[in-house]
Amino acid sequence: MGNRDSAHDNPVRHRRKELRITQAELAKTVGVSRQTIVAVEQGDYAPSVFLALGLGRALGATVEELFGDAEVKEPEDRGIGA
Amino acid sequence: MNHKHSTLDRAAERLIDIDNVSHGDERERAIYMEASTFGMTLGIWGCFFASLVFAIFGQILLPVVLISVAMIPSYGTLWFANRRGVNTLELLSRGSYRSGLTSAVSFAVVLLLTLAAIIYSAYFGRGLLQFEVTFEVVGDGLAEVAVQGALIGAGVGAVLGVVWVALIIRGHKKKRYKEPAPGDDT
Repeated sequence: MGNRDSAHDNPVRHRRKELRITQAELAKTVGVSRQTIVAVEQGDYAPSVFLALGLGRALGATVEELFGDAEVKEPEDRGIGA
Repeated sequence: MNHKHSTLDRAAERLIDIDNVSHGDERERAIYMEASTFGMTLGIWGCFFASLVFAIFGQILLPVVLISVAMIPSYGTLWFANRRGVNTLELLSRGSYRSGLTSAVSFAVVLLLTLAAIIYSAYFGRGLLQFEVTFEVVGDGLAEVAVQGALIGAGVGAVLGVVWVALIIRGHKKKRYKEPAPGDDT
């Protein structure tokens, strides 16, 4: 599971802040719940390729930029949507 | 998911309603599936332990029914996954041998204890433990009235349950549409 520290330097969160959009707005744009955006930003959930591409489009970034540095966790700790 | 669906597959998917939008986005759906598995596992273990308890108290038919019911989710899972090219037994073989074996042995132990208790009851004509509840019916037709009352009560309870769930869903819908979207969390 992720934690608050990792959430603060999360690329998704960083890019969203740069664009000055709220989690709710981003969630609406990509068609997921706000809780899912929170989970992605906190590193608790590894999004599917489709959602990652959607987030990339919405944030004007590549998937590599948003998730390229994401830690590869052990299977038991990994998000469920990978 | 994209599959070539037969009528049977479509019926199975209609039954679980997996693509219904009410199941939320991909994370919520994944959590929902995990929660369903958790509930199913609890149900299976509940059936197994209940069958053991009833067998200890001398019941024969009820434990057999409970064990049979407990088998349905497992066979349903095997069948559904197999229709989509996923061999669940092969999946289990990829996990640790110990965890798979622990689960299988636990089920086998409860099943064997249940069978032993059933055999004991069948052989000796009584259960390992005795527990009898007797009801004395006073007055003509009282039992009939009690049954009618129970049926009416169950019916009213079922209707109230549906209404309660409908009200909760409606409340969530209203909340979602009326309340302004919550701002940034931090």
